Amino acid sequence: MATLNQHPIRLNIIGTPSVGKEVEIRVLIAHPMETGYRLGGDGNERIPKNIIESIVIKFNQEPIMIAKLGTGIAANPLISVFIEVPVKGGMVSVEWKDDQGAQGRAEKMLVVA
Amino acid sequence: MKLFVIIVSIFFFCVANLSQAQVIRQSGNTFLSPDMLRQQQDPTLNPVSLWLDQGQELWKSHCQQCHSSVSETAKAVVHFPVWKGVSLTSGKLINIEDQIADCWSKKTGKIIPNDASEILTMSVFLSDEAKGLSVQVREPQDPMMKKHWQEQMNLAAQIYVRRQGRLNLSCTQCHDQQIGKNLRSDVVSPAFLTGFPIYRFSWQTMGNLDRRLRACYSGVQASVPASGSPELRALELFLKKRSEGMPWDGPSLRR
Repeated sequence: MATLNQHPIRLNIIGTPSVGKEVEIRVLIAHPMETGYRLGGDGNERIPKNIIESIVIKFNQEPIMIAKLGTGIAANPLISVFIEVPVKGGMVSVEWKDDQGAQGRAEKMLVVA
Repeated sequence: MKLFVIIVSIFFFCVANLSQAQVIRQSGNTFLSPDMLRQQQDPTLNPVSLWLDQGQELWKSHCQQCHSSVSETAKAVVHFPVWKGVSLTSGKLINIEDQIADCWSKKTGKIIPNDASEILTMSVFLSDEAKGLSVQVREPQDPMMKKHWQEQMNLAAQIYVRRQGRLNLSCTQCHDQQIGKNLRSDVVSPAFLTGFPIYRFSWQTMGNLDRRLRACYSGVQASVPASGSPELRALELFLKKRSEGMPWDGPSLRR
């Protein structure tokens, strides 16, 4: 319903961001990931397919990971990527888009310690 | 020799009965695998945190004007269900979701079912705020209300030990007598009500206690009561009373 944000998103950077070390970028997206095979309501109608098609994680506008998801991924997908911390920090952002046109994004500053 | 065998078997029989009689008061979290426990404790891994984000927004836009403090409002979570109304015809047991739905309809003028996504989200949000509080059911002060309340409690106690469904099982046979054993691939936990609503991986979403209890009814192939029916409310009261004094775990992760 309209009162709720249907797709909250959490972007987190895990680990101490010191140069040369690894940090984990963790993305948690609220999405039903309907396969299109389930029957709903009175059991005669299929629940329409609704799948996140692509997730792009960018560092300073430069894509560092592009993922194409399919029906095999569970609801509320959790994606995690490990990166080496560069000399200068930057903006980590994530963008996703589903097959029904819904999309979302989040960003977080990676500050080098 | 025969006497010895008899004495030994009597001893083991007593020990077995003794261990059955004692139900250790354990939260459902005790039965989670280490991986799931880690996922539950880490908000960056736990999908429940997405509902908490939604709940935060909903609280700011819809609830904050009247209920100023979240932590004060959330204190009620551990007291529900409560008896509302004086007579048996107009009065009934209501749980936290009924209360939120009632409040919602009063404010917006639209009647909303108690399993609507807004209500569930707000229930998750309040349940999370109530973490760590001690479960304490409130008995009504009025003698007439107390009588109805007690009747509901007795009814639920009967349901709890009544065999039902095609499997001919009662709640107590699994949730008191088979704790720690495997039921399909899951471990049976004692029936203590300390961490609802739950995110269940088999549901792929959050669900309230009604949904969980209905799953139990359907599991033993009994006729499933409707969501929000008095039978489920009575059971909720009984389970909450059973868990009195235990700390509230907040919204939990289950398989």
